Amino acid sequence: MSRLDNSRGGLISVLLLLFLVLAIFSPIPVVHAQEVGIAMAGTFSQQEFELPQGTEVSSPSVYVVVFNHLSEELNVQMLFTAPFGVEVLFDHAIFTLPAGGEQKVYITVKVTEDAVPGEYEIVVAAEATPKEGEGLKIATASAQKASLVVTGESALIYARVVSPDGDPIKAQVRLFKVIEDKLNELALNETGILEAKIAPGIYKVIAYIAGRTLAEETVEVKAGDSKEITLVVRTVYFEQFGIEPNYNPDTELLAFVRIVYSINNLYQAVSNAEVILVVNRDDNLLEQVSLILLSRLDMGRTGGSYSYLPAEGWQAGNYGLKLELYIEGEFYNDSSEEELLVTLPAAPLGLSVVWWIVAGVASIVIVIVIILAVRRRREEIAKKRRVERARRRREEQARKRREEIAKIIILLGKHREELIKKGREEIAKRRRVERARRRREEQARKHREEIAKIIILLGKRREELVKKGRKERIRRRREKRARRRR
Amino acid sequence: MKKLITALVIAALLLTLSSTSVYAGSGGVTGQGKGGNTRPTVDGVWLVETSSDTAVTAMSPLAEYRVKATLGDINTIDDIQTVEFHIYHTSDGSNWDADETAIFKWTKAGGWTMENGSATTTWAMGTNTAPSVFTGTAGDWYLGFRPGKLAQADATANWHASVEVWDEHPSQTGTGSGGNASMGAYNEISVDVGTIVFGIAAGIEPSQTGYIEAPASHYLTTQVASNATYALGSKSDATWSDGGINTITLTGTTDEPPLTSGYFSLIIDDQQTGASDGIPKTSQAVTSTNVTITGLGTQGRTETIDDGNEGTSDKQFYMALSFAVDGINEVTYSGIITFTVTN
Repeated sequence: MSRLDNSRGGLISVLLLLFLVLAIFSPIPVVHAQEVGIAMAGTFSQQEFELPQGTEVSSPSVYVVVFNHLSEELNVQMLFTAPFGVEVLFDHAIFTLPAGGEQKVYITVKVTEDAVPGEYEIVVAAEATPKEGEGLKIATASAQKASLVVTGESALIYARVVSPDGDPIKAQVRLFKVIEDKLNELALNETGILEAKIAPGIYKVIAYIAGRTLAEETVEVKAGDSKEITLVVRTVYFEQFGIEPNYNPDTELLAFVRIVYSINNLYQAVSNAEVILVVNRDDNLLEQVSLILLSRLDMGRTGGSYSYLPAEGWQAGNYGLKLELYIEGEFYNDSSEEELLVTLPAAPLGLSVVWWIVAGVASIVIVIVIILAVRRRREEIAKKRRVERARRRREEQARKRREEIAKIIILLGKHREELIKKGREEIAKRRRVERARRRREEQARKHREEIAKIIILLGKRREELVKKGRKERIRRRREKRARRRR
Repeated sequence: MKKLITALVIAALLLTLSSTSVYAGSGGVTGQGKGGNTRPTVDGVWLVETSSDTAVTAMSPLAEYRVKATLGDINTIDDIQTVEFHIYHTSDGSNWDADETAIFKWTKAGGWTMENGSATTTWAMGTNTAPSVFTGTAGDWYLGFRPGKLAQADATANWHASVEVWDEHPSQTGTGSGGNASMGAYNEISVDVGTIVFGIAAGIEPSQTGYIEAPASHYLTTQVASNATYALGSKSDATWSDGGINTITLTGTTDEPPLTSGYFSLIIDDQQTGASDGIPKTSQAVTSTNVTITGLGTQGRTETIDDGNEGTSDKQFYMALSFAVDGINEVTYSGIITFTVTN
């Protein structure tokens, strides 16, 4: 309320009374306000954008969430402050939040070609709009700010995810700008291929499948570069690998080690997967044992267990056990190494000299027996190996014989087919010859018949001629006789 | 002597035989053995999204995420009795502390619990999942959680998860940790202002300046909770109006009174000149754009202590309103003064 009447004197007391009455209803400087509140969370304030002119960043990881913690609904307006040429876009710009409600707002930062290279600060704010009414109102706003560097230079990055064989893999690829060891996400793609125009700098590309980081690479990109990155991912891995020493209940000595493992296949079924146990003792390779061979390893978790005892028995030393996974005969992945310290039983303490002697003698005998036992065991193992080798040789020979027989059968089959073919040809040939012979005989027979006919005709002719001659001679004789008679 | 040697040899042989009775078989040895209840193992710990196993690299307070823990036990996971989840910043702690360590637990007998004791908190559990079958040697536990509003956001350090698992033997535990995600900033602000009166209840004379007279404290209070450093600023509508033709305009200066007809000045500070007089100590103009209040540019986050409640950081503000000599009509003007908290 402004008091414009400057009159003085007797009117003052009347005016004061009037002002007091007015002040109760609508004086200017009195603020009738209410408790107002708004909250904001999100990732925007963590961002350190570094974008070339003409690009934008729009990632699911760049957002704010606006909360209404009050007991009545709240009208909210999203506002921003940015330098010339830079636009900030919200997927929700004006909205009403119910009591206790929240709204996630995704943010796109767009740097136009008009933006001037330089370092800036951009602020996004959610402002609670007070309800209509008279008087001065108190409003609240929550805001986050981020840094922005606009660059005039740019580069291209192209990343793809492949299997060890080079086949494309459908994976999630995420591109991060590395700024002082902090990752700022710039782009994300679910197809296994990512392409982006970026500012020069250091970038990290990470490939995920089922949320597991399977490959990553950090590269430095310079202005004008066109960088290609290939991330090779191994989608089958050992998820669990543990060993459990088992002891002889009588002697308390290590008997065997139970191995439990599980393989997780994240992407697709694979063929011919083999798990091999690799055992080292004191960093020297001791042996390799095939634990499982699967013609098909399906997606998901596949577990197995195995009880292991070294072929030569346990020796004092530090054992290292590790699993290796082979797919189609090629090394694919391995597990971490589990260590197992094996010690020989310690000599008993506090015994008398006699017992020491007894123990010494017993130890010598035990050593001899162990040596003999080990030798015997080695011999048995060697014998088993020989037997096994012999069995394998026999199997190999049998297999070769089977192959040879199969080859011979095949050859015989071929030979038989050839013979049948030749026989058929021979028969056909003979038939042709026979038919020719028959034709010739038929012709000869016809010739003979014709000749016979001719002969017959000739004979008839001859007889006719003979008859004719006789008649002639008779006639001549008759004529001669007639002449004689005459 | 021969008998003694013979006896010794026999004894030694017996000893030797008893200690070498191992059990061979194809595809691994078989036989009886005493396994000694192997410890359960934590084979992997991740911070993941709620709808998938996609790793989370950035979290936000009050949004839901999950800790995925793959646990194993050679004696089958049926042996697992208790799993404790810690979500922590920088270094794992053993006590609940809303801005550093949140603790959750799964027990075979009792299910899931949040271990905040009596501390009030905005941390919360989400949708949790334990294995449905316990016959295998490995299984996945998913803890759904919402970080509290004061879970600290730190540009130099991230949040992680750790898991400790117990089987039937309390001393047999397995531990593991994983996850690496930043925490986004959070801030909230509210102002508790019932009725504020500038100057005397009757109003302010033109050319004069009024201060907050009611409440009697001569200030208004902002309550801020933030998990990161923040700044407090204020702004005002550029013009106040009576809803009709009468308007007054904000100078954006500290002039008392404003020199231009029809203008008003709004002044603010977080200190007063004297005890309980309500006069801003250092005059700072409220403008029509948000300007950080002097001295409140970099305020530390709202901290919590072990097993303590989550609170707020309160700030008092003293304000003055000054009118120009003339051009101010006797009407009721409406306008908005906005307090902004910025991370």
